[in-house]
Amino acid sequence: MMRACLAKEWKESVKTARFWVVIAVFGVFGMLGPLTARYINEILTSVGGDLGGLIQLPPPVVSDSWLQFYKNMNQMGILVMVLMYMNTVAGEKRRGSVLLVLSKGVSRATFLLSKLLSAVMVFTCAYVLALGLQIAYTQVLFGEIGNSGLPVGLFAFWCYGIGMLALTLLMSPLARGTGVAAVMTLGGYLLIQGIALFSKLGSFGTGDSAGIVPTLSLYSPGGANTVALLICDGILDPAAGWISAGVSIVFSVILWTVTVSIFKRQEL
Amino acid sequence: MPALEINGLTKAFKDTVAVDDLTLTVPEGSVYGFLGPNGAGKTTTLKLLAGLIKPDAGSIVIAGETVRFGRSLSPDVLGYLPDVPGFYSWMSATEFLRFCARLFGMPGAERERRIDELLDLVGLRPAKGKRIAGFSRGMRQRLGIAQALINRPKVVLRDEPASALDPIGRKEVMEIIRRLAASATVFFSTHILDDVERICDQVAILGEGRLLLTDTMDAIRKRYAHPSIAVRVRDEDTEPFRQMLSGMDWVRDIQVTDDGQLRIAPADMEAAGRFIPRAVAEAGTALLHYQPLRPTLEDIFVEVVKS
Repeated sequence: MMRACLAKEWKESVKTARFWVVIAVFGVFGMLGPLTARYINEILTSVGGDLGGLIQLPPPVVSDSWLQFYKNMNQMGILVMVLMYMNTVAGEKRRGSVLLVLSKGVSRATFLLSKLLSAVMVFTCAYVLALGLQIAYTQVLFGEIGNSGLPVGLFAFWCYGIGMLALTLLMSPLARGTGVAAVMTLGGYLLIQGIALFSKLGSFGTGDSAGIVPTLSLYSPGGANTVALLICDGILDPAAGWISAGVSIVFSVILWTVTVSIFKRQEL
Repeated sequence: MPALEINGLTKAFKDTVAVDDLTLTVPEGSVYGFLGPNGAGKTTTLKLLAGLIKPDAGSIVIAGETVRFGRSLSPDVLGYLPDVPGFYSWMSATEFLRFCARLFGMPGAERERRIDELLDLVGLRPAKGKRIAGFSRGMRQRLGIAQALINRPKVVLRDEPASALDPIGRKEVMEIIRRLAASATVFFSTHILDDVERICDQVAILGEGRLLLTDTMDAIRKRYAHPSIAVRVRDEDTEPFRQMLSGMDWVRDIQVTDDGQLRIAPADMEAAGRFIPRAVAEAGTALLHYQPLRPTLEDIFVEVVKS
């Protein structure tokens, strides 16, 4: 039953172009990160005219490439995933297709899990593609990939992505309509981003980049990109990536438990 | 063993009692019509039977298995078709039925055979590869029937299976349901009385959530069917003739329809046959039309709901 549901969800992602949109966005931003980082000074000079020469940026280094990558993945990649999947359960409730599926003995947990796993599969494919392009372009443009903490940071960010998908799925069954589901999901996304931003703002002016920022980001469900970057810069020990990943996993499990519990009690 | 047993089923939404202490038994192999005006509680009852909403009180047993909210029954027990079946519009009819068959773990060869059988049964074979997005309402309803039968269920629940269809589509869907009676018990809700008269063995009438009547079609006709006679006379003013008849002891009731026809409900049909032509002659008019009327389910329905 799980296999049938998962196969259907996967096909739906491919046939409704959801998969291709996500792949395209991640692919483009996987390429853009290293290019932007490498040529930022040239870009500023060419588009800024006289002002371009006034802005002096230090020569780009490999961590700039990863800064762009995590920023793009967080601001565009994850947002696109949220937009693509925010109505996944509410849409089925509105159309009535959920009634046909659940009346065939599919448990509500299986129904939701197939949707989450399918979204995770799409996200993983897109993330791997973006990562492949990011690594290839970084190697070509900077002559190196990054430090040894990179894999842990990338894993932490992947776990964060799953947490955001779990959040997206939680909001969808909670809402009565697709419009409400969309507003609630985007609200949840912005809230997580806001908490992450607040963690960073908390230390502005202190110059304490190894103090409060990592501590707050480490335990914030939206702080994975900051943690990954600090690992990349060598400010944080790679072991911190495991903590951040653990926070995202716990966050996902809590959201998942709440979602299933609510959906099981919902009358359709 | 009855196909379906409902005992004291009750469901309220805030202050509205949608289903009120409903108790009925559906015999195995019957085509059971669940009748009621809009808002009577039919859809709520079917959702309760399918385990999609939680009852406030009462119990439901389908083919020997107790229905529990959110829990599934054995794979061969139930087929369900909601009033507006929702599909995945990106799928074709075959893909959708294949998906449904996989949910029941049906093995490959049997699955494909069953899909072909059902596409033939509902007449969708020519459109089997077409995307559901391009299906008409009738085609969607027929696909809905097919998906409800994929697991060869013992009991099939249908909510208003033909209400949104044109007369031809309705006739086709009713014919499919009638053919199903050989292999499953069919319990379907409707407010279209013609459909019930055409194919049902048994009927339950629901009004404001309460069961008003349940019996076989024959028994209901015997109990509620008061025959009448449609009479048209030459004179446009039928009032003198109506007054003359209303004084006679074999006349139970007389109504005049908008088009000037008299509807006479006699206590004795034979007496009516003898006296009406005589009364026409005595009134100095001529008999243009005389037709004994068989009471329809609609007449019975109106009588039951009113009473």
